[in-house]
Amino acid sequence: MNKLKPLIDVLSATILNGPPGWEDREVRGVFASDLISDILVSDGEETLLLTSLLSDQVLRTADVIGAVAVVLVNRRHIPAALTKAATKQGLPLFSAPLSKFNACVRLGPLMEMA
Amino acid sequence: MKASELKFPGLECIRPSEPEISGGYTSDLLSDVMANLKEGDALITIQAHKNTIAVAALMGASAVIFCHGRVVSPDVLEAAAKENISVFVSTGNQFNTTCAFAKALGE
Amino acid sequence: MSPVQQPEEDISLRIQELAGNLKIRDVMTRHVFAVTRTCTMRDVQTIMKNNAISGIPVVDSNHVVGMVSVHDIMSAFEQDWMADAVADHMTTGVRTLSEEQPLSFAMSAFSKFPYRRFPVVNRKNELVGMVTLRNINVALIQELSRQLATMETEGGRVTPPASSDSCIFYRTYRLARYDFESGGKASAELREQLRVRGVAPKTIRRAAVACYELEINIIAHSHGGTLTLYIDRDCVRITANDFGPGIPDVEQAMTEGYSTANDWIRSQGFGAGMGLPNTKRLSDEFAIQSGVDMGTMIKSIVNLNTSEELSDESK
Repeated sequence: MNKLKPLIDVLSATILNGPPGWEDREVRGVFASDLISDILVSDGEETLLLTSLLSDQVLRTADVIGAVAVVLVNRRHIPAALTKAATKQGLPLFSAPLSKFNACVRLGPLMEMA
Repeated sequence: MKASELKFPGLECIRPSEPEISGGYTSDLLSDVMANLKEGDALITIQAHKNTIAVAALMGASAVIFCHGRVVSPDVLEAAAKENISVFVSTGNQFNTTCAFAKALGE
Repeated sequence: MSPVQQPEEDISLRIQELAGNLKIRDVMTRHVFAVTRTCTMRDVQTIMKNNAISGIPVVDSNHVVGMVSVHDIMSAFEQDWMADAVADHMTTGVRTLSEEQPLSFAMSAFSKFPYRRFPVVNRKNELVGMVTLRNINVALIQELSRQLATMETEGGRVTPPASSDSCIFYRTYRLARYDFESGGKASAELREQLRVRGVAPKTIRRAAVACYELEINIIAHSHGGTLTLYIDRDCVRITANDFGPGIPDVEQAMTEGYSTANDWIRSQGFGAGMGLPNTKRLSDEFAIQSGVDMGTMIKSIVNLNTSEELSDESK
């Protein structure tokens, strides 16, 4: 099982919301999707969610499936409301400069090792 | 890499086509695909409908890989044939399909 | 005399929901006219006429042994039996309902049998009331008005039906078409309610996702509607009710990958055609009914205290 910190590091992601102790949260799997419907069908526990969606619904969905954290890929400008909502929810939120493809490729070896 | 050479566990080629696969792009948002997919990329997605093929063709994608073992309907295959795009189905999700794809491609 | 035991399948979901936890006891008429075997047909006719009722049970030490209907009285007039004891001309083999049974049993009984009234008995098989279609209609209309009234005044907070003693949480949410902002409120509340009660995380997730799918379904695909959460000790019941347009082919809608979503809905990340199949997969019980131009009603039940807790621990 991986801790969240090294995964965020390998993505060179910036922290939008990092509630105390986020570094040590444990990640069992990674799920990458831009469709809420798809995320809702996922079965994994303690998931790190990669997505390029920027709606509030992403955070609600993450909450509903009990995701450990959300990484927004592909993006530079994140709506302030989104960060605010994540803070309110206590959900770790990050922004990565990578495409979802490259983010998966970078996380792959780490997840395989675990 | 030719479509016939792309192999990893859980991947099935339903319709091979000639264009070489040179990279990959993983997305379910067609607007994102239109903005970022590079020519020769294989599009890894769960959106198994005709619009996906139309956008992939527009951007010069070499192949589409549908994740979650999606059943591909005949009209999607027909459109892919017309546009000369390879069609694959992977039983994995986008994350592990992307990882396996990148490995197979030697990235 | 044989008690009525009926499945509930033949009653519409919407009515079932309205009947909720009402029991036959809650709607029956308690003030019952009954006669003994030795009363005459004329006695019965007098009681009927004076009290404007059309059927009277015949009892023997409080046990129902027969019924006399207006039809029986008419026959008695024709055949000149008015002075005879009711025992000679009553209808025997009467079907009774138990006061403990849910109201939906009574509704099934009325659709299955041609009778207009059923005697209601207690556990000791003694006559305690009568139930007619009128009783049921009045109860359903009262429940409907009560729900509407509380929704209007309390912005969605509906108090549970009085008879639902095991209810822990009950709330109705109003959802408008394309109001994605409101989507997720019910599921967030459901999560929290289950979390503080120590429900297994896997079960919470199943219930929350099923709820969220149904919320989004109303928002993305209907003209608007309501979602009701009902939690008791054993299960979570989620009911989604919308005002149309209805689903022409429910079987198709239940197929994975089938979606009528437009591009805008897809751009919101929805509309991959997995919502309903996913809800069904996550539910322990699932039912859907839809009428074109009328609306759709979906019921999802997730059992609490299932073996998921055990399997979680064994991992």
